Amino acid sequence: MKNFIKTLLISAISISAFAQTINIKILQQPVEVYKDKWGVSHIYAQNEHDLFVTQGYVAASDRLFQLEMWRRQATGTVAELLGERELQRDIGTRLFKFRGNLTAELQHYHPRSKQIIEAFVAGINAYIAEARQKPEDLPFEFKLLNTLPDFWTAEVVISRHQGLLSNIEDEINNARLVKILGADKMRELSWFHPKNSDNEPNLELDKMLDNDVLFEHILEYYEAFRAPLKFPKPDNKVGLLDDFQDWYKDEKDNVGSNNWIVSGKLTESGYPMLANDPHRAQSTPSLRYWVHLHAPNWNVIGGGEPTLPGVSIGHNEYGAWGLTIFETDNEDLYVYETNPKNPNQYKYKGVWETIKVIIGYG
Amino acid sequence: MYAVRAGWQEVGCAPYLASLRMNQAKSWEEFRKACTFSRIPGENMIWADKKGHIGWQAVGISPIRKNWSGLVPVPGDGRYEWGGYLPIELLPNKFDPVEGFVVTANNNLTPNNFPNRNAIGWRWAHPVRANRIEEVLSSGKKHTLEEFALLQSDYVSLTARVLVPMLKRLPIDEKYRILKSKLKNWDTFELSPESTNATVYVEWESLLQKAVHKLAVPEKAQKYMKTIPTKRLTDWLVTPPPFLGANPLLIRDSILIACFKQAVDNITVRLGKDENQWQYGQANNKHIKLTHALSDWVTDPTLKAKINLGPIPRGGYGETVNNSSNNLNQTHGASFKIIVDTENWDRTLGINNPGQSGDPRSEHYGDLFNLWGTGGYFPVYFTKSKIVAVSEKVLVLKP
Repeated sequence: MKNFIKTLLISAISISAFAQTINIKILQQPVEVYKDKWGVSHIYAQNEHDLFVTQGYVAASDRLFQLEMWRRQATGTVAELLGERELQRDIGTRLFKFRGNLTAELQHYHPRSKQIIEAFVAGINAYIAEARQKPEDLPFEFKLLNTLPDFWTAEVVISRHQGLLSNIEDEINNARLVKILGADKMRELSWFHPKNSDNEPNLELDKMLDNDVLFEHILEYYEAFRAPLKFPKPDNKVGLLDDFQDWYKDEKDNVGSNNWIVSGKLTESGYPMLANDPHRAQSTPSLRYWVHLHAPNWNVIGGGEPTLPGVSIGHNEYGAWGLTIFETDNEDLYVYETNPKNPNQYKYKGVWETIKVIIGYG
Repeated sequence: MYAVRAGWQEVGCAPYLASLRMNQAKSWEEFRKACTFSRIPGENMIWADKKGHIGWQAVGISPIRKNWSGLVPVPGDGRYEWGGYLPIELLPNKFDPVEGFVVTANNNLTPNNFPNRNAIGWRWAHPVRANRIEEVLSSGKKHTLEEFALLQSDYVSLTARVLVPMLKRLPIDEKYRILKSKLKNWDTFELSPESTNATVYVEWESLLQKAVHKLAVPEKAQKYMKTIPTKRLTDWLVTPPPFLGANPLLIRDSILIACFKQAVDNITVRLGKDENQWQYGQANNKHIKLTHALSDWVTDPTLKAKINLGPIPRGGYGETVNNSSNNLNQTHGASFKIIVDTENWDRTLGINNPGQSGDPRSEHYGDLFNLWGTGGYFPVYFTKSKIVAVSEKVLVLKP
């Protein structure tokens, strides 16, 4: 008992020695955050709302500029900061923005994901509101670019701009190669698999596409929206898209990951083990951020992009999980015949359909 | 007129966000159910639990294409439409497999007879990383965290194992003889930072890639096909196809030798004449230097020195388990790593290069860079008392 009291006293002293109290109005109850020697925040909240408010708050406190660049990319407001060079990116972002049902979207990720995402955003915004009060204390990037961090919305969290999407660039390249080499040679030089015969996969071009139009630059806006954000000096005349193909190939070649799981039958401890190491571009700051989330019904630690609530790779009290890329194909390029008499019409199943035009950002 | 049809425009395609459901999973069944909500990116999700189960479930939004492969553009006139999406539970999966492990490294794990073949991809990573991991996991030894840590940093090139023995029977000019015989006696095939054989080998492999690409891919197609898959490179060097030249064996041998000589010459230019200075990992060869995106704009030299990190030596290349990419400044690879023994969560090891904070004023901006660079980890404590013991700061947030 005496030892127990002594331990309590020591921990109470050590807490008070380093403790810093911060007022965040939107919290419902007090939250403790232990920042360990390696910079990992261990969040102890008393309810789910406060847990995710705090996750947003600590992510913003450690990664404010990264979050601000994510927000600008997600909202198509990069040119506002970096000038005309980024205009195509913003147009691309607005063209490809999520236009589905936002309520259904926010509810998809967890039985209470709408509330979780909103709490996370509120936490980010609580930190941003504080930071805007003291612009002199902002990280150097803000001073260099003479800008302030701005507020988040749930739509910023669900942005797909940085996702590992699929193969539309390859489709155009494949078609060009089929046109130059023929399908058989293309298959011989590539490595498409798994397959059951030498004639797979089918690469024949539809008659409508068997011409030179595929050699035009087709995906300008898509590429602009997908290109990584850079900050060249004004004397650097490299255009936004000049190095896109090189970047894309580098990403294709190098983005990948390893993970493995081993049964307890094969481990020294007799328990299952897991390993995961996702391979992405190395950068400063890191793409990912470790965090420990603790609240009633939540006890999970691991990492993910700091722009998201929750943990993408990690463990809870029951199990551990990890991820590597599995090749799906969720993008296709379609080519349309337009009405020579009305460029706003395209042919679909033998009749001229009118293109739906969306005005503005909506 | 062109249009992009993007599955990721559907509800539920915010990357990784469905992991919120996985975060509260208590069993493989609950984890797998959570996986069915994970639509972007396509992923191999793996699970290991304290009760003794392991499982793998591929996830991702996968349009069903009944009449085309999805590999080339198609007319939008109504003849080529998606027939919905494949339910995620129908993607490949395993639960407690008899072999006792599952390895995924972006290689193909889908059987040839997979129904709805055109719903998933046709191009997969070369299985060298997966094969190397499986080789270690099949060793018959009982596995430990220390071994997993070494395996995540593993630099063995399985491609070197195929190519290096091919040098043995080939004659070469006097000038290159010693280096050739050194390389052919190299039997670890480890691209470790201190190795000088690795330097010669990797330069040789990359020149072979260029030489074979030039012969195999017709010139007008080279702009659109800039490299050939390593699988094709090794297949064609082992069994040279007629399109390499009228005498395939002769041309294959001459490529192997010419590229070896060129590799030695290139390295002599890059690293000097003294072969003892040809270590693979060094500032003039394989290294990593992290440059902050705004570095060019920073004029204050103190700040500039703080925001940029390295160079530090590195090993490996784009096809080792420790995938470090093929450039001299290896700015790809695993910045985030985790290894877990479910026996004891407090023994979990993790890393995040270069640090947790993005603010150079914080000591956590680059504190993990050197630890990461030497294959190290920090302990990821889970129990509160252990966390408190290593805490340097406590924040109390109050309403």
